[in-house]
Amino acid sequence: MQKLLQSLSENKSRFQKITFLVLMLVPIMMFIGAKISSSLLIVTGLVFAIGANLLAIFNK
Amino acid sequence: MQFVLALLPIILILVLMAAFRWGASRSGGAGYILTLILSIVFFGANVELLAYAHMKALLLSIDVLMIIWAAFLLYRVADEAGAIKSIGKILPSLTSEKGMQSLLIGWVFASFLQGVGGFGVPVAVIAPILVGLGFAPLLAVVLPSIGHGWAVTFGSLGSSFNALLATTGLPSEELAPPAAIFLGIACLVTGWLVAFASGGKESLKRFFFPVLIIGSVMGIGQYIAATTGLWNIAAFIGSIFGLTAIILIITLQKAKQQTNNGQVDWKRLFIALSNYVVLIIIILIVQLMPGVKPFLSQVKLQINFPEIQSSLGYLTPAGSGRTISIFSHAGMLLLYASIIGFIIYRKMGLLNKDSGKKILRETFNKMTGSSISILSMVSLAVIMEHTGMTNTLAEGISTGLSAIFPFVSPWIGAIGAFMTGSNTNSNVVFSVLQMQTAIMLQYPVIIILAGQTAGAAVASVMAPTKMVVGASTAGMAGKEGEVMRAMIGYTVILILTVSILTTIAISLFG
Repeated sequence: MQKLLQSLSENKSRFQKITFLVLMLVPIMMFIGAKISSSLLIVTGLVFAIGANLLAIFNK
Repeated sequence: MQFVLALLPIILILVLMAAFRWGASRSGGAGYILTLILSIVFFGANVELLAYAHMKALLLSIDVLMIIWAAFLLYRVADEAGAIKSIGKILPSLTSEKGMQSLLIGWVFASFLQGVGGFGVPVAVIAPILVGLGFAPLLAVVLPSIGHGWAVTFGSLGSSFNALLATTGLPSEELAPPAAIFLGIACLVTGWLVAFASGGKESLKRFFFPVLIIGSVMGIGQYIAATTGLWNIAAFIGSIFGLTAIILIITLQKAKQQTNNGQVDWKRLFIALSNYVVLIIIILIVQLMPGVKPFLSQVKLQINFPEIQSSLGYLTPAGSGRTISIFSHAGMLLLYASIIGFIIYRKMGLLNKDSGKKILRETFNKMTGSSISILSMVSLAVIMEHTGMTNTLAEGISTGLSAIFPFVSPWIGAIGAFMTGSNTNSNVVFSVLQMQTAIMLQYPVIIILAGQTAGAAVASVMAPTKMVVGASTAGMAGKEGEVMRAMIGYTVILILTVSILTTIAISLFG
């Protein structure tokens, strides 16, 4: 955990860009999931969205 | 119980930002995750609802982000060319009188910078100028901070107002007039507060009429622009009117006293402003020249969504999400102006061949953080709306505060802006809540929303996040508490003004 936090603070800018891209792309993935009735795609999207937001939370 | 649960994400964001000093993107992320959990566990959010809500949130976010990114790009082009520095050097040479300098730089020029830039730029640029002119550092932060609040909603090239339009789905023709009136009156009060802050009662008495003239000109200028479809440059137009008025007053005073404190380099000033002159021309062409807007609006980003129902039965009717007309979008107009402005500055030798890369890199780096917070907070707000959480809050507020809601409404916007650090974020999080509460209580929605955005605008200047930027540029780093104490009285007066205006407007038109 300590290493992860250290890595996050050292690569703040890079992780911000990743977070931004994930948050832009994930809704499209979930929308496609809803259109083709694929709960798996939507749930995967949600997991990515939660991951990206967690990254934002820990990325001081 | 449901009311408390629905309120939790908002409380969490406010506490994290205010008490724990978290940034907007971190707090937004935490608020989003909590909303997701609460919506699934207590409000019946299913996978289909969440999928559509996220897509709607993305469309709303793109709408808001297009303006924010392009507005910052336009500002960066001008700043890189040295335009902002030039204007900052030229203006103080107009007058050596402290009271008039406070109004010119701390109020009118701060409003101009909010009109064209925003994002903390007014205080960051002006505080060092005022310190250089001999103002005390505390006053150098306080003057531009309170001076630009009235211009926030229609400033930053309309990003906060666009957020209000995007989240409520109401047209600008309905929302702009009351918001411009409230903010116009707030502008006048702001001028008197700046005069008072700079020299006490004596200064207020002395500059009462000049402020009345300049403030009226700025407020009316903003109103005219906002109500004729030019809402994204309304604060800019208002402040240009204000700059003209104050320069005229100073010139007349000089002629009367037969003094001359220095010549203004008008050519240099015009070159510095050329970026924004291009923007005005583009906007006027698109808005007023027949056929141009329909031609540019042919390519649209629009998605039709089906009826969505939560597992608890809360229904969101079918309809299209936010429609984005790609090439006539305000953000694209800003982009066109940025490109043309860049070419002009380049031809004049104010930018070199590496400037383009530098401007783009800095815009991307600066905007990524705030974009994350907007994506998270918009998602949070849309999920709350689609699961009935916003409706639950609105029902609770309408039951508990029905009689005093018009008075309280601007304070809700103000708290949102204070805690999230931005009028835009406050509008994103609270507009739908305010709208639904107003509908339940049968108050005119547009007046309540005008109170929301005006309250948020004047309070946003006191947000801890902005305070830190302002204090650091004037050598007051670590003394943010002192700045906040000095500003609290002025900010409360401005929010109170908006509250009273909202209450009066409701009693007249409700």
